[in-house]
Parts: sequence; C-alpha cells; structure tokens
Amino acid sequence: MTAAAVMQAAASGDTAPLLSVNGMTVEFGSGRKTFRAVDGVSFELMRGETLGVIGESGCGKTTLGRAVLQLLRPSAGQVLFRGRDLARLGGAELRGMRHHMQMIFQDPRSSLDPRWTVGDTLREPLAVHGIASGATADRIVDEMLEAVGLTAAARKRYPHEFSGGQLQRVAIARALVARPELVVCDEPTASLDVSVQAQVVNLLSELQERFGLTYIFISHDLAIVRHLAHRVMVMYFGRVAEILPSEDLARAARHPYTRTLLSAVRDPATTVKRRPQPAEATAAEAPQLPILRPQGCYYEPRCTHAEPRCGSATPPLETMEGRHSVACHRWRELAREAAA
Amino acid sequence: MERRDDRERDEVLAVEDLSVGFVQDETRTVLARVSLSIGRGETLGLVGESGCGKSTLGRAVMRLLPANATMDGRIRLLGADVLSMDERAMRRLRGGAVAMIFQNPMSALNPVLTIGRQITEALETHTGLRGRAATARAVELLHMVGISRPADRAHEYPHQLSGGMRQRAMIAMAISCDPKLLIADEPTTALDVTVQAQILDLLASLQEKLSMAMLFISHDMSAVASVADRIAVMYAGRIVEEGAAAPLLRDPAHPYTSGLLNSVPHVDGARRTRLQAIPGSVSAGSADAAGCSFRPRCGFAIARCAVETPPLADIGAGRAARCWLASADWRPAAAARSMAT
Repeated sequence: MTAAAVMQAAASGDTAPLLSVNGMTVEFGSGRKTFRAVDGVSFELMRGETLGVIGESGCGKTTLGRAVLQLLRPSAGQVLFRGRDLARLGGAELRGMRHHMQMIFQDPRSSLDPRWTVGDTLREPLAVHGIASGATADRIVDEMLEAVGLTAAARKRYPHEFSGGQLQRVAIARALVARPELVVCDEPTASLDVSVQAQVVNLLSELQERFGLTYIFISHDLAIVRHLAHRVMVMYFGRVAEILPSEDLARAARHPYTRTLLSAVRDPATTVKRRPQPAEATAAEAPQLPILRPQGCYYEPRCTHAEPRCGSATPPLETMEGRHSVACHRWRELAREAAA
Repeated sequence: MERRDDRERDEVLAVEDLSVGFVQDETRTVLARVSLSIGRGETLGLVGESGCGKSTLGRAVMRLLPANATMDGRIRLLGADVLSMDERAMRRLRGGAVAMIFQNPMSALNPVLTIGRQITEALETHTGLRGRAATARAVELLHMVGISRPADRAHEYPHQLSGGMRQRAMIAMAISCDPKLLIADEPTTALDVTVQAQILDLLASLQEKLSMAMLFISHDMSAVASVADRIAVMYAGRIVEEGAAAPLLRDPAHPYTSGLLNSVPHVDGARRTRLQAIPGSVSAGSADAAGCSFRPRCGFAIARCAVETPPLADIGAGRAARCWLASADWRPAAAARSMAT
C-alpha cells in the first residue's frame, strides 16, 4: 500500500485500524521496586502502515514491541488486534493469533537456531500453525527464500554458513513465511555493516509492498526510521514524547527531545570538524532512569525550555493537528516561536 | 631535504608498508602494506566496516596484537621504532605518550577498582605523582572530562556510572599522562546519539587543550566527519582512499567511499525511495590477493581490476585513491549519473 493510500484510508475513516493500543503499561518487579518500562502508551496503526519507534537505550521501545506481540504481558491497557484484545487472551487463543503477528530481531545469529538448517527453521512455523507440510511446505519455503533474495539452495544450509546480511534475510523469511499481517522489526539493521544495512532496508520496503505488511519499526537511527516509516513515535523513559508523520519530522517536530535527537543527526557530506567547546558545556549528564517515578515531565531535567510546572505536572499527549501529537506543556509557545 | 626533516619532527605516527597476518593453520593477511602518517595535533579518521582491519591497525601501533600475529613493515611512533622496541620500553609508551580508548569502557575499566584509583595507578606508573598529589590530579582530570562532583565520583566504581560517564572516565584515564597520540577505537559506537555528540565535543576540546594527535577509528562516517582533519577509508585490509576530510566526504573518489556515503538515508532527503545499497558483502579472502578486493561489488569494474591490484595513487589536491579509474577528474557519482542517462 502506498503512503498516499494509507493516508487516504486513515483520513476517510472507513478503515478500522489493524492495531489499536490503549494505555499500555509494562512493569517489571513488584512493590516499591516496581519499574515501569512502558508507561500508558496509546497509538493506532493502519493496515499497510509503518510506525517508526525511536528513542535512546532504555526508553522502552523494545519492551513496547514485545508487549504488543504479548511476548511480555502488559500490566495494564488494551492491545486490540483483528478485533481481539490480545492482552486478555490466554495461551491457546493467543497461539492461534501468533501467525498473524511476527517479530524480526536485531541479531539473527542469536535469534536463529544454529543446529537447524534454514529449511527446518522456515518449515517450523508452517507446521506449528498447521499451514502446510511436506512438499507444499517446501514449495512455500523456497518461494519465501526467493522473496528475500536468497536461492532455494539456502534451505539445506546452516546459519554459520551465511554472512550477517544474508542471515538477516533468513530471519526475515522466517518471520514472513506464515504470512503475518503485523511485523515488529526491532533494530533489524543495527548489527549490520553500513553497506549491508541499505540492502535490508530496501528489502523490508519491497516485502511490505508485496505482502501488504504492517510494520512497527523500532530503531535508534532517526534517519533510517524517517526513511522507512509513515509515522514516527518518539519515546522517552517509557512515555510517548511525540508522534507525527515522517515527512513533517524535520520541519514540524515540537517536543524539545525530538529536536535534540534531530540536532544530533549528522550528515557526513555536510558535517565539518567540530569546534572545541568548553568541557563544562558538554557536561550535561543523561539522568539515570529512576525506579520511583518523579512527578512531571521526565525530560524536564535535560530540557532547556523547562518551566516550574514541567517539574510538577505530567504533560498529556495532545493532538496538535491531524496525526501529530505531542506531550509538552509548552508546545503552543514553542510552535509560535518556531513560526516567528 | 630540509622539508623532510621538518616533517619528521612534526610527525607523531608514521606507518610504512605495514602488513599484518594471523597464523592459524595458514596465514591470513588482514592488513596489506598500509601506510599512513599523523602530524602533531592532527586527527586522522580511519573508516571502514567490520573486518576491514582498522582496529588491527590501531592495536598494531600499540603492539597489542595476539601472539599469532605476524607484523612486517615499519611503525615510527614519536621517533621510535615500535616493531624493534623491547617490551619494557613499549610498556612505558603505552598509557604514557600514547593512550588508547575503546568502544566498550566496561571491558576496559577494572570493575573492582574505583575510577579514581584507576587514574592514580596510571599516574604512578608514568609520572612521579604519588598519594594526595595523584588523587588531586585524578579529580582534576575527571573535572576536565566533564564529570560533575569529580571528588565524589572518584570514589565510585565503573558499574555506578552511566555509559557516557564511563566513557568520560576512560578518556580521563587516557589523557592522564599527557599523551601525544590518542588512539580512539570506536569510542562513540556503544553510546546513544545525544551522548555521542557530547563525547565528540569533549574529544575535540581536549585535543586542542592538550595539542594531542588522534587516530579516530570508526565505522560511522558522520562521527568521523565531526572530528577528523584527514580521513583514510579502509576496505579489506587496504586503504582505498585518503585525503582532507571535507573534500573526501563531499566528493568521494573511490567507488567504495561513494557507495558507503550513498547507502545511508539523509534526515532531510527523500523518503521511502530505494536506498543505493552496495551489492553483496565483503569477501572473506586474504587481503593480499591479486586484483582489487572491491571489484566483485563495484559497478565500474573493468577487466584490469580482476588481475592487477591498483596502487593508492595521487589524484591531485593532496588526495589519493586506490582505483584504476580514479583521476583528478573522474568521480564515481558523476560516472554513475552519465551511465544512467
């Protein structure tokens, strides 16, 4: 589905979202040591859309992806997928939904079984979900290998016989062989060399068109997320800071954290050697994630626009316009300042 | 002749025709006749993908390679011949006039010593400082690298610090003995993007303050762009392009450099278009095999590329490229455009 079609479908409102997450919270630990990795996150995802999830390590983006797929069970909130609340489904019912939703991990060397041939790995989902067996399964596997740019000969080989980029293709084939609708891609290019990253990004785009896939694409790389996603969701300490269409990212992003992330992206072709700055100016320390959550906006300690209320009241996620929402008390003033 | 003397006096590091192989059943060459030099206060960015030999080069300069490594060629470090130096002299050099920082500070710092103690240990080894004077200097160094409450932090252990703070502590340790050369091996790779920018700023300011030269090794073109005066691009054990940073990044002369720069999306570029990926992957062959090692992935390859290894040839304006096609007026980007039309 093209970007225009997605937007049209979203605007006309006649298509229900494929995925609707409402107030999802994931907590680890218990009692006073409870740690909230994902804190009341809500978003909708249209069929054929790619939602990019970006944030720094520890912001909860991986936990979010796993909780959507119920690989971790959320502590609160709804995950509506194909009309069912996944958070309320039990073992057998959930297993019945599994082939509609799959995950691609960062490191294929740890997500694929080294003792299984690629053929074994790809046939397993077909067998588990009762989709195909025998010669039919082999034919489906061969087609999927061809779709990810490998040959049928790959079926008899083991993971160690592949390069990192090829192995990520195998992992993608494994995720797609049961023809899921929703695929969570967790940093799928982060462990790859730069020259190979682009191949995998291109492949994911092709496969989305070909199989009508819906992606949640999790990454710390803003340029790749912007390139691939229709919308970008920026997370900070488990909360959504901002969510907006990718094409508006550079121009219209309002949250001070999003702007900081944008300013940290350097384009090699235009970057020049940095001028030395006084060490004190670079000493801003990223705060450690507190176990006991403070009041107010979590970004406040690092924010150059913070006011007293930012430290006392949590900013709600407010819709600015259309599909752009931001969680910042001062977004109206910042938008006016940017316009001036 | 006089110019040559001047140059040698100003040269902090000169690597000449360095080849490194690892012996295991048979010898695999990982660096094939690499030459480079770094002047006083200069930063050379060494870029390349995993396995290209860039870390091996950094470690060879410090003689930190494993026992099964064979080295051939010359490494002149502050006028001394590294490959013929005895181990005692080498130990004096390491952490003294030449220091190294690594990608993962957690594996380079000692987990059972406070960071203050780790710095005073270096000071005791390489300078005359002892006791309180060493402690005071350690606190001063922690302050210099932007660690707040340095006197308290000196008593903390590595696990009590965030990733960015650990990297700062490692940098404090590295600069403790006023090195003339800092070898930084992927120092920002494990860090979050906003912290990366802080560490790059810190390195730039320290470099000016201490007038130290730097060999900055990274796979990240944009990190290299923000610190390097000159850049050397490595592919499969050889330098394939070298020159002043800005012209090389703006107008790359080697098809590999051009491909690397083209394969990353730009934050203000077109979206959801096909990225110009470099096809295939690095072949596992020995670095000294005949022909150009980039040939199997190169869109411009000619018959000659398969049989003869191109030299790292001068292409004017202080630049060099290891490609039979590269010249003062041939550029891969322009050639690709004319091939397309």
